[in-house]
Amino acid sequence: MHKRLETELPDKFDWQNLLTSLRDSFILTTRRKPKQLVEFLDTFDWRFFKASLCLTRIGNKYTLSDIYTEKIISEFIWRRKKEYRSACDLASDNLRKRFSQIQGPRAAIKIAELNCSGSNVQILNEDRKTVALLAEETISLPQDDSGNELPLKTILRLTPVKGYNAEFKKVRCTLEQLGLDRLAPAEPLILTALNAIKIVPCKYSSKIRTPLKPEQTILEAAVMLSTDMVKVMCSNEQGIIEDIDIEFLHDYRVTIRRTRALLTQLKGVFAPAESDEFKQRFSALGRMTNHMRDYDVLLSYRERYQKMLPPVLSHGLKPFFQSIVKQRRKEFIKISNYLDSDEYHTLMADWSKFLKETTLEQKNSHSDDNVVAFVSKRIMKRFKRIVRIAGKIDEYTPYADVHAVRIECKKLRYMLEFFAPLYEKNLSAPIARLKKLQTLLGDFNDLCVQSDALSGKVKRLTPKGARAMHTAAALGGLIALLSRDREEIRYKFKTAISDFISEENQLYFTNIFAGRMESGT
Amino acid sequence: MKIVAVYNIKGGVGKTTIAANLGYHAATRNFSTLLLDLDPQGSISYYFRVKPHKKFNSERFIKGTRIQKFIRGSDYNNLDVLPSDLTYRHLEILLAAKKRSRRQLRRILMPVKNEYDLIILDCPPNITLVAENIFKAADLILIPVIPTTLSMLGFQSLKKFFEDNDLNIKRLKPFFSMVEKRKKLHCDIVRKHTENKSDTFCNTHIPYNSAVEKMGLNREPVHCFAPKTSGARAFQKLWDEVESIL
Repeated sequence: MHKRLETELPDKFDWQNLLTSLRDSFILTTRRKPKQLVEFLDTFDWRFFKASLCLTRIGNKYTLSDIYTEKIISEFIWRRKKEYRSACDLASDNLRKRFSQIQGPRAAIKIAELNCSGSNVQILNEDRKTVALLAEETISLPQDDSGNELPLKTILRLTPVKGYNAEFKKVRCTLEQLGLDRLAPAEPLILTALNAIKIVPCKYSSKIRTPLKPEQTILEAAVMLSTDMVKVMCSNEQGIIEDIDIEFLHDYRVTIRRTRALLTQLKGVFAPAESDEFKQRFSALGRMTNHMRDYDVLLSYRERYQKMLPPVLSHGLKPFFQSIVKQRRKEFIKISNYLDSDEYHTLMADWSKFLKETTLEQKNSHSDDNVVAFVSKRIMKRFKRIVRIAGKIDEYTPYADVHAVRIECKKLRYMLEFFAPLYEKNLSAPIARLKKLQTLLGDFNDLCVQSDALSGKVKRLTPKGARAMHTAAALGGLIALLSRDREEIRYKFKTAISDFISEENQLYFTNIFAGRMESGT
Repeated sequence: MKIVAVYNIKGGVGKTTIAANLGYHAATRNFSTLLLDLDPQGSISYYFRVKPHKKFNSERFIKGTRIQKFIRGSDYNNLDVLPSDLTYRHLEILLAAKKRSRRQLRRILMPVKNEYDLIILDCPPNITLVAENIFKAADLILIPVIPTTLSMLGFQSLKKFFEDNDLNIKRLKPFFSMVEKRKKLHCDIVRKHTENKSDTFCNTHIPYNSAVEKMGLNREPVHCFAPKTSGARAFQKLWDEVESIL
């Protein structure tokens, strides 16, 4: 079947003349399309766009469609006052499932908007069956600050109908005879909107993808990485302050940890006194966000917890979550105020200034080392340490020792991800093995943290009244279930660890990193 | 992809009207839908103003290769039609000549199975080899039953045929069609089945409605020209019920 075609109409195009020409062969029915504002939504990290999907809003109607085929996948009418953001707010199970798969915990936010108006023409054959569709559409950007609407273009769009190729060709021929010979496959409307406001899709990623070069010094590489991490932190600040979704804080915290990991891993690269000072200041910043993240995680488990418990116990969770919402609100105010404070702005300004000036200032013991040689040494050291301590983990190992392995794995993962572009050999295989182990350790840690949080709450409960009793019973039930899940994970440690510290993986690490520890080549 | 057949041994029970309207409602709910007209009368094709391709006939249909070429878009988003042709009266003979003659329809539909979420079959009446192909291919067989003695007997015969031939009877989903509230017999039969629940009839009944009859004049689904009528609402409700079953 032919594809939908479009062309930009010249300024003084005679639309009526075109319709008259088409009427020689077809019956036409024309319908005027009133001006409507089309809003395009996506998550901050472009999850819809990355899945080739487009979420639009016209009035209170939201439409999910394929960007390129324009096939509508889902539609819903949103009747609440507050605009649609999160998949968990959708009433229909099917919709909730579909949107959760796409946007996860992220909120859908407006990324662009366009005004569209024009007319649609149905081209009918002698049976009054539609054989092609013609549309004339004027697209403009809505009013800017000065109140002016910015016209972008007027396009003519020709859409085929399956099984009517001859008729489509005939219409196309008529258009070409009238000078419209530049018909090309139609550009998706979302791309028109993004191009108009000069937004490059998928620009944000919480992953650090700094283009490092093997001939750089470790100091140059560290400054580039840290500067990119400052950008990620800054781009998440507004989302935290506006409380758009929980992933802004999560990405922000991960970036703080990465910054700290870099400072810790690269000893002797930055000036030691300043390095220690920034480590402490970022550590304090990370600590400040701990509670809010814990509350976010607990609240994200609300539905899961309710399903875990029998109905007789689950209603006891309501007051617990109500108190979590209140506590989160307090933490949120604290953090958003801090992110707007002079103290925070000074920290970020000091750090940026330090990064800018550090290459010019006095050199430290390892500043001039080649990045590949330095990093290879650190990665091997970290890997050997994990092999040593993880080998001792079994189903009886205390939580603190498991936690220590988890932290070591995190540090290694950051190093591998930061510096992967420097190695010719693809590091995805060792990263994947590490990721598998980290997932398991992470799940174990999450369950420990959740159990601790719930136990803490139980201890603080005043044993008075039926409400407190119900909450205590529900939390008790949850703690028991979470402990059982945690112990089940322990039995999976052995396989994941032996896979990671296997001789094959050790040989892999040695081949990639050990040979490059001296010269870097 | 799911295949839903609208079938009855008896003719004149509203099969084509129901198939056309269900197809329309499925398409508006974003189900990519193909309406397959298996009746040589070609009423579905008439309703949607779609004529079959000049080179299309029952032999090409049975051959099954490149049937996509003969599918036509309707005037509605997500809804395509494969029109029938008068030569479909020979389908029986063509099917009988094939090996595994009861499983040909499923094979024919294979090439389009990834293109559509739903295929609705508008079936000709009678228990023939075409019907047996439909029974093998369909995931759900909707049986419009007029609440009259003969129509109920027809449904009982179909059930017996399924039992005798070891076909899955759970795929049969009867519902009352062309129900006239002013007729005592209709009301009695509907009430008896609602109370009895021996056969799992759909909760939705399609009423005898003048708007439904006007489909032949307007040549479009009832919802498009008389959306507020009881007929239009019943078709919408029936689709909701079918969707929940699927």
